[in-house]
Parts: sequence; structure tokens; C-alpha cells
Amino acid sequence: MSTPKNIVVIDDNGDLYASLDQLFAGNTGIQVTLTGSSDDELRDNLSLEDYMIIINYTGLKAEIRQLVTDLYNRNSYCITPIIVATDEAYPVTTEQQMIVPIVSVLRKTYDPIALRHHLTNIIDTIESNRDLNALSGLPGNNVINRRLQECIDGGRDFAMMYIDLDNFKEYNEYYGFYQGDQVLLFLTRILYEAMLACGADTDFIGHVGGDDFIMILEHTDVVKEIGDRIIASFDAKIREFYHDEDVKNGYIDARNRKGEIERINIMSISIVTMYAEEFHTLPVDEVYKKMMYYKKQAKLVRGSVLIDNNR
Amino acid sequence: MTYKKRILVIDDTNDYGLLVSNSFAADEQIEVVTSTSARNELRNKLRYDFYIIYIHHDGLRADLGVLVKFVYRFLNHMNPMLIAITSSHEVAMSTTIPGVGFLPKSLSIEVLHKQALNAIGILSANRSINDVSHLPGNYAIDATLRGKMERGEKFVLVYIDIDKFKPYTDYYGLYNAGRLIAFLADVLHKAVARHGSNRDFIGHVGGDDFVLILNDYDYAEAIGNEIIEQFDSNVSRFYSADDVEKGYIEVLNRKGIKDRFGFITLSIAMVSNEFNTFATTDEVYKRMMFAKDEAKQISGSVMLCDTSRTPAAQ
Repeated sequence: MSTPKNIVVIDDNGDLYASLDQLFAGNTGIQVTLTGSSDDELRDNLSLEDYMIIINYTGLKAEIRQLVTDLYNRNSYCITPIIVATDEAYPVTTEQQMIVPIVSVLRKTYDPIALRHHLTNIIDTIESNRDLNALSGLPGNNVINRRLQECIDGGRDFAMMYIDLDNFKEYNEYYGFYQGDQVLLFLTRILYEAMLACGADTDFIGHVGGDDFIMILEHTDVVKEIGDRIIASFDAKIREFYHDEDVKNGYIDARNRKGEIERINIMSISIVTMYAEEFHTLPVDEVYKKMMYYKKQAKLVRGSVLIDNNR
Repeated sequence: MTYKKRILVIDDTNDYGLLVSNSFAADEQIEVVTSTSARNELRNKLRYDFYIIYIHHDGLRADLGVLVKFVYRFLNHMNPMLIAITSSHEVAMSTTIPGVGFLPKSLSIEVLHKQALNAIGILSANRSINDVSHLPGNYAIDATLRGKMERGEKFVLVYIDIDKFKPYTDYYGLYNAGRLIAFLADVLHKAVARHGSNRDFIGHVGGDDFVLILNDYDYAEAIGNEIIEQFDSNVSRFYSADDVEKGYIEVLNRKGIKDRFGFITLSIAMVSNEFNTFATTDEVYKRMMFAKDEAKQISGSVMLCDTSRTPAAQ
């Protein structure tokens, strides 16, 4: 299916590599690679796609602090967690040793099954965080698509609500990204609170990106209640994100795509709902296209609007 | 972005929760929330945006396995690091509880603190990977540029974005827009592989905005030209035959009137510390955005290299 996830073991001794390689021998999803700690070996054996780097502290030729600093500088941003494996005799867990980006220290005396469990757990956490939106912390497109497919395959009733803001782009350009992000965090909180108040614990909120969000609800009879609640909470507070003068005017003067100054109203919210039967009769991209059409219609209406098709 | 990253400590005695809270009291980036294991309280406190959840096993009235199951059911695809802190060796060696890491109670709070910061940094970086292109995002872009500046290395910051992308998305939908973005990411990879070095960085700001951080200006223009050539010669693949023949698409503007848009093109802008001195990354971005706006004014695909040694106009 996909390429195996790579664990790189920096091990001048070879004993840790041997035991880890054996530990994951039956697992086709994970592959263990050995490298020494010299510059040349590291350059040849490390890549940005690695899921984890494990350093065998015992018998390491390089100095650990220097090694970790070099690893850090190699890709100044760290997406790969570093684990230090040590014997009880080596007190690596002192504060000054916990240098970025070491996330964990483990004892080589660990029970092998517990060790495998521990490492798999870290890899799973790292991988699933790649599918989250960095700003809102909500799951992104991969999870949304997976979840939607599960619902379609499950054959039960469900509702998908597509939520986006009117006039967000212009607000973002006029007030700047920082203020724009605050609005998105505000919207995230509203969606979450509406779900807590009216939905089921297992209902789903995803962040497509920018000002586009998706909710998937198990119980379709709460669509109107949730939609109304989201709109009411949004409309009640959104003016607080504007300067007094802009609130008084009811608009901002922003540039449109052609570079002309245009009056842009205070932001409002559009929600379009699609139900299970659409997904059971049309392919997913057709349902999306249909939804885009309804969304366009919703945008022509001034102010916040909930489009609740067919029901 | 200055919103707080949250850590949750589940602890029925609250002494451990207090210890962790105090340890982060002076940190403006991080907020520690504490909760008992009581279901009602936990349900209200479990938010979508925790980075780490610590469970103080020694001070817990509930069964660890049942509690973890409850937390997972509620988190529903959101995946903080879940760590149980325990003084029991047997519990730490347990393999029956999925998705939980263990830390010994004997670990000092200073080490826990440092470890939490490291883990949050790594999770943030992983969250900032773009889910369409699988390229690193703003967090990594800023860290890479800052790292280069701190080490006094040469850099060329290249900004790439698609002109008329929004009308394209409105007309063809998110699915096709995603294909287009994946295509552009591929063009960037190939251009850098062909003319650049393996130390060059490719990042995705979001939407139709990409960034390259190159190590030398010598090959920067060659990369830019290659990107434009590849993009322009393939872009018609992303339009229907009818629209290719017409040469434009018609999209409703906010007033409900149809606007005409020609084919999408690229704007590329470059700034480099080979021509100017920059004290902060913000200064680089500012000059970059200025160059980008200028590139945007020119119709068609265009590359604008800011090689002037004058201070940027404000």
C-alpha cells in the first residue's frame, strides 16, 4: 500500500539495532535502518521522510549534545522525533541533556514488547498529527475524506455541513493574517461548542483549510438546531473583530481582484448541508460540485444563511 | 502565531496537576489545564486542541484502561500525545492499553517540562505539513530561514503563487484545484532537483502560495525559469476542452455578475541576502511581499528578482 515508515538507529555498537530490527521483523509497515554516527554515514542514511531517529547512547562515538545539535541543524525544523536509548547506568535524563528535539529517553532494559508498543505509539502520534490543521488543531482533508467514506460505506443516515465565511479573504488582507487567524480560531470554538451542545460525542469537525470547515453529524434531526446556533453565535460576536469605525460603517474598503476599491460587508457565515442519500446516489466529487453550486447561491444572499436541502 | 498551546493533566489528587501548572506558569505560549477523571468534568475540558495529555496514574481513582478508552472516543481523530505517569513498573510495562506512552514518576519536573516543549515543537512541525502537497508549512519555512540567518549562510527566498487561482477554484471546484496544487508541487520538486542542490528547501505557505529557500543565487534564476516553462506548457491540462478553445472562464462575482478570467499563470518573486542585509526574517518577508506585489501587477507568468542593493521602498 504505502512505503514502510523508516526508523533510523544511530548505533556505533550495533546491539540496539539488532534487537530493534528483530522486534519489527514481522511488521511490513515499519523498517529499521542502521547508521553510524560519523558525518558521512549520517548524510547517506538520513532523509526528511524518516519517522524516528533512535540514538544508542551506550558506546556512541560522537558526543551526544553535538550529535543532536547537528541533526537539528540539518533540517532546522524538526519533524522527526529523536529517542535516546540508554542503560540505567547512564543518567541521560538530566535537564541539560534534554536538548531539542529529544522527545523521549528509554531504557535498553525495557521489555521488548513494551518497547515496540512505545515506539509504534510515537510513530502513530506523529503521523496523525500530520493530518491536523496547524492553526485550529482540527483534522484536515485526509481525515475528512476517510471519515466521509466511512459514513458512506456504513450505509446509515448522516448529514455533512459545509461551513465557510463570506468576505473573509478581504478581511484577512485588510486586517492582516494575525487578525484573520483569530477569527478562524473563534469560528473553530463556535463549531465545537455547537457540537458539544447539540450533537453526539462522535460527531466530526474537520478543517478543509482557510475559512472552510466541514461537520459530519450522526443525527440529522439536529442540523437546523446546530446551524442556527452556529449562525447566532457568529453574528453575535463577529463585530468585536472590527474597529469601531468599520462596525459603524458596516463595511470595509478593500481591493477586489481587479484592484478596484470595493465596499465589503461585515463577515457572515454560509452553511450548506448535504445528506446521506446524495452520497449514495452520486460519486463524492459530483456531490462536492453540487455543493459548490448551492454555496454560490448562498453567497448571493446577504448575511448568514443555512441551506438545508430537501429536509 | 500567539495562541496558547494546551496541555491537559488528568489527576484526581491535583498535586501533580499543580506541579505541572506551576512549571509552565511563566510560559506565555503554553497553558496547562487540569481535570479530575470524573466523566462530566473531563467531557467539558477535553478540547480539540491539546498537544499532550498527561494522566497521573498514581493519583487516579478510575481504571487507566477505561479512562484512556473514554478519552480516545471523545478525541475522535485528534491525536495529542497521551502519556501516563506512574511509579508502578508493572503498569509501565503493560501492553494492554493502546496509544499510551509511559513515564516514570521519578522523572524530575524540569525534565518533564523540557520534554513537553520538545514534543510540542515536533508535533507543531508535523501539523504544519500541508495535507495536499505533503510539503512543510509556515513553521518550517520560518525555522529554516531563521536558522540560515543565524548561521550567517547565503540564501535566496523565492515566493511562488498562482494568479487567478480563486476564480479557478470557484469554477472547477476543490477537487481539481487540489490536483493543480499537487502538480505545481511536483514542478517545484523537479526544477530544484534539476538545477539546485539537495540542501534546498521547498515549503508550502498554504493554498496556492509556495516558498523555496535556495542556497545560492547562481542557479536561482534557472529554477525560476524552469518552473514557469513547465507550468505554462502544462496548464491547459487543467481546463476542459471547451474552455481551452475559448481561452477564458466566466465566474460569478459577489454581485452576481459574470467576470471573465484568462488561464492561470504564475508570479515568482525572489529576494536574497547576497544583495541586501537583513536583520530579521520579518525584514526579508516584507521585502519579499513588496517584490511579489510588483510581480502580481504584470500580467502573464513572470519572475521578478530583487537584485537591487537599495533599501526597499516602504
